[in-house]
Amino acid sequence: MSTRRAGRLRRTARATALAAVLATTVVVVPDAEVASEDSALVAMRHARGLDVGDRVVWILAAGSDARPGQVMTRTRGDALQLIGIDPRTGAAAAIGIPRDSYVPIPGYGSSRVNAAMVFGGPELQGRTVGNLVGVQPDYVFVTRFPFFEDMVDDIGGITVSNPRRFSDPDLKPRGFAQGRVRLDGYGAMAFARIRKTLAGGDFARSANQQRVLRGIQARVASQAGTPGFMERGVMSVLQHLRTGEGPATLFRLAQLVARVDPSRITTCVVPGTIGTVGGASIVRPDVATARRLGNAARADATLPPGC
Amino acid sequence: MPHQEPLGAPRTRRTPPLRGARSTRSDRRLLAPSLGPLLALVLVAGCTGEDGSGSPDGGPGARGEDAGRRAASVPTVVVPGQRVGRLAPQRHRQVAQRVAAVVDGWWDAAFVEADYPRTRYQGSFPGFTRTAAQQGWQQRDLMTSARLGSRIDALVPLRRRVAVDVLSTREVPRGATARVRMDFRTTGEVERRIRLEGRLVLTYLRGGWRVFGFDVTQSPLRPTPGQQSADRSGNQSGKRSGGER
Repeated sequence: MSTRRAGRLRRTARATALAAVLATTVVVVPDAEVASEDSALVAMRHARGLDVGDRVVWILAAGSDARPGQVMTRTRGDALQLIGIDPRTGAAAAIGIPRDSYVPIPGYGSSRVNAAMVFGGPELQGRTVGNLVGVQPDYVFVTRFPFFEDMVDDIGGITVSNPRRFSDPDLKPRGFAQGRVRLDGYGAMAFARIRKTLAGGDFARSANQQRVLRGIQARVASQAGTPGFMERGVMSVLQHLRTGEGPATLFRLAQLVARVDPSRITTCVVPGTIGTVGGASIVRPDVATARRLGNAARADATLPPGC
Repeated sequence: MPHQEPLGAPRTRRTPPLRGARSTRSDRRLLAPSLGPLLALVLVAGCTGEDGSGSPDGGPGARGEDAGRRAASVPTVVVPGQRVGRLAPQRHRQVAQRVAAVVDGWWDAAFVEADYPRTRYQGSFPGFTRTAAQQGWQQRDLMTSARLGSRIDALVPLRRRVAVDVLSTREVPRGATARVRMDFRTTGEVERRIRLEGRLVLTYLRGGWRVFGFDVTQSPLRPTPGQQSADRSGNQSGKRSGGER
């Protein structure tokens, strides 16, 4: 009996509380029909278009470690990223090539992939990477690290997402914290260049380079509407990159980069095993996987998940 | 504030180059005696929807036929924007004028220089590359007046502004960004004040500036405080009679 009474009391209490909440809601929440028109949240629809062709544009980005006085287009590079962008969808893919990958270089036997730049400049570098992945780049952009720093500074710095803390006694003694990290030009260079202290070595460095590329794209996209930003960015590229392309082409490509959808960026690093040739440490790339990545991204600049 | 150019920025005005017979026809349509009821509606809309406080083409007293005529020929304000690379200021202004002419060509074809009601929008993208024109056509609800065209009797531009950022090397302009904004009002079944704004990107191709990319929005034009008070004291039902679907 007392149990039944207690249950009735609880139900009554719940009903009273519910009534109170509803009454409060009626008072606090304004009638929808008389809602103020002074403010409104409206999803803005954009019409967007860009004429840069109807297929994926492939760009090989090469970062040279040329010292002052050296020609950067005839010096081995530390960074090699094959980037595809689909202008129809805004998808983008980056395939990282470990610097020490031991591959055939057309006309020069086999050597580390970055030796192609020394043997035959950007054109041969592009062909060598293209043969490894099975996708030939449309453009090869070469820069050296000081120029890269200037470019990142010119766009106002970038933000990267760093999965784990790391440092380097020479380049960055204080290291990079885990999480979102704001980088200026020097920081971006160090983030992309540090290798020896990374557990994954060359492969982990290549992945970090891709994080920097994501940061650059995000910065460009966020600032594209700022008056003169795209023009200044292209001017910076003209001053700091060896591309062989004219300003108008670079201006169009810059618009393409700005239109990339961050949610549709996929990245992979070509895997491989560590070995030695002639006593020198090299990476034997998994060519089958490299081709599989190239085939996957060839048509739509989208890499398979989990690579 | 009718215009919001940055302080000190040089500014020129240009009348859209494509004004001609169609524009005159459009004006005549507004005034045609045979369209008595429509004319009355237009004039009422002009009195209730426009208080002139934000319009460069007339003060509070400008109303009716004269206001309609002047509004239809509102000039485009051309602002040389950012200049990146070596280019003489005078050359920058020339480039800005030419780029603005391309923008005007689009605005006139897609919005202004037409008889309403309108359902045909072919040829709305002069000055665009073929692919960009196709992309514009696929999104014509935002790149033209197609969303409202069949339900309006007139589209009257209120302000037209183009700011042009130029990239140049060796005194040669290579690329340009046109930051564009056009405010217009419609009369007829749908009476709206709309702001069209965004960016067009252009390069010089085959003897002229061509639009190869765009990012454009259309949104209801937020009335100024003066317009709000005028609207409240005026015929609000008239403004709401033809809501956008």
